[in-house]
Amino acid sequence: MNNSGSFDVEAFGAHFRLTAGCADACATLDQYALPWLPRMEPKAGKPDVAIRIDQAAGEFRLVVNDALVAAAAEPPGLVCTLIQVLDEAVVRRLTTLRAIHAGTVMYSGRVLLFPGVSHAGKSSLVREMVRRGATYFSDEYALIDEEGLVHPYPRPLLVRDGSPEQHPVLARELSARVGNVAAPVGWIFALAYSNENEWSVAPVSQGEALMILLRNTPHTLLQSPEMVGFFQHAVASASCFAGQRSEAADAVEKIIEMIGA
Amino acid sequence: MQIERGSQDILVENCLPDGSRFLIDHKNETVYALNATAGAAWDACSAPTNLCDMTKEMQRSFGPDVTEELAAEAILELQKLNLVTASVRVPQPGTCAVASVRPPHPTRRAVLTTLGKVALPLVVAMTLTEQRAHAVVATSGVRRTPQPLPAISKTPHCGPTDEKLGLC
Repeated sequence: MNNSGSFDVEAFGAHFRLTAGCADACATLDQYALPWLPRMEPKAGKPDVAIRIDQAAGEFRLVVNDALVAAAAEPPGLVCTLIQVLDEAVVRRLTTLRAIHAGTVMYSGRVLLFPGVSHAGKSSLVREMVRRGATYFSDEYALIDEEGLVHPYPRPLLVRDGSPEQHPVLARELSARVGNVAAPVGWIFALAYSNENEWSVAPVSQGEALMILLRNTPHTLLQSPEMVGFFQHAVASASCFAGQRSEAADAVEKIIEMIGA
Repeated sequence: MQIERGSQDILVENCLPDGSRFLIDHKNETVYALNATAGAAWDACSAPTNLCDMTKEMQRSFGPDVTEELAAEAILELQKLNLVTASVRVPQPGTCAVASVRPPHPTRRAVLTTLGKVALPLVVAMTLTEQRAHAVVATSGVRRTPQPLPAISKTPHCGPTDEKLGLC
């Protein structure tokens, strides 16, 4: 970060500029904005997305392309929104990759996907897998290329821990290894949390798994018909399962038994 | 009586390594996932056929575990989504009976009793409209934008706020 509290980051073809007017806000941006990517001096020209934290009227304000999107008493209170703004900007600008809303880890050299809607517990499963030695790829998006390989998007995890509010956890806080190369999909587990804490999971065909991925992508088939080919390659190497899961620790134990790793 | 594919408008058919299929019907803007059993049935009626021939064709993929009841169940799964047109009744054991009447058809329970290593046929469909609805919610969580600040649209299509933020 330069003296004016500004740095640039390139992520998947998108150019971000992050700026803050005080040391605390600078530290927050540096710590949580795409933290695995190198920081660069601001380039000449307009970035794709300009993100600022301003201090005014006794509060900190998150401003994206000159529009106010959130305010908080302290900079850390803006982090969840900051991460979501970055996520959405990255996903909308993907050119050679397509996203699946899925928790993603690598285990024994292959990627394990947990596709699911918000509140499905993707982050809990990812964190539990990471605790058991998996390499962290993402708790939110699996980025798939045309060969079906998954690219890491290791943003800070947003975890709830039983609370309705999310809070950020950096991969290094979990002592996690972070993925840095693309890898093939080994397994897909589409799991919904069971209120009865019951484990009821069965194999599904790769065709059904492809359908599950299409239900969990932010892209539409009308606008991105090519993603069928991307996802078809992804499921072609995978064993696929769907069903109800128990608590994250118990579920991950069963998953590791099932994948035989 | 014959069994034949109902739609001539399926332009894309993808075969996956486990034998399952993914079909895209552009005319009806619908995608279908067929498991391996339904996929074998789909293949077996690539030309007009009957239950007897279809059963034999499926047996080439799965062996003698494929019974006429299972083939009939596969037809019904495909028929439900208008992928095939057919009229079948429960075949008598040891025969390849077909008839020009619609079911009585085998119950799922009856078919289950005939199964060996072959999975029950399953066909799942989704329209492009439904897929778009899923895409709307497959995003990075709900924005916790304080009031009275404008909320950011979660839709993948541009709303006024998205355009203002340059997010699309």
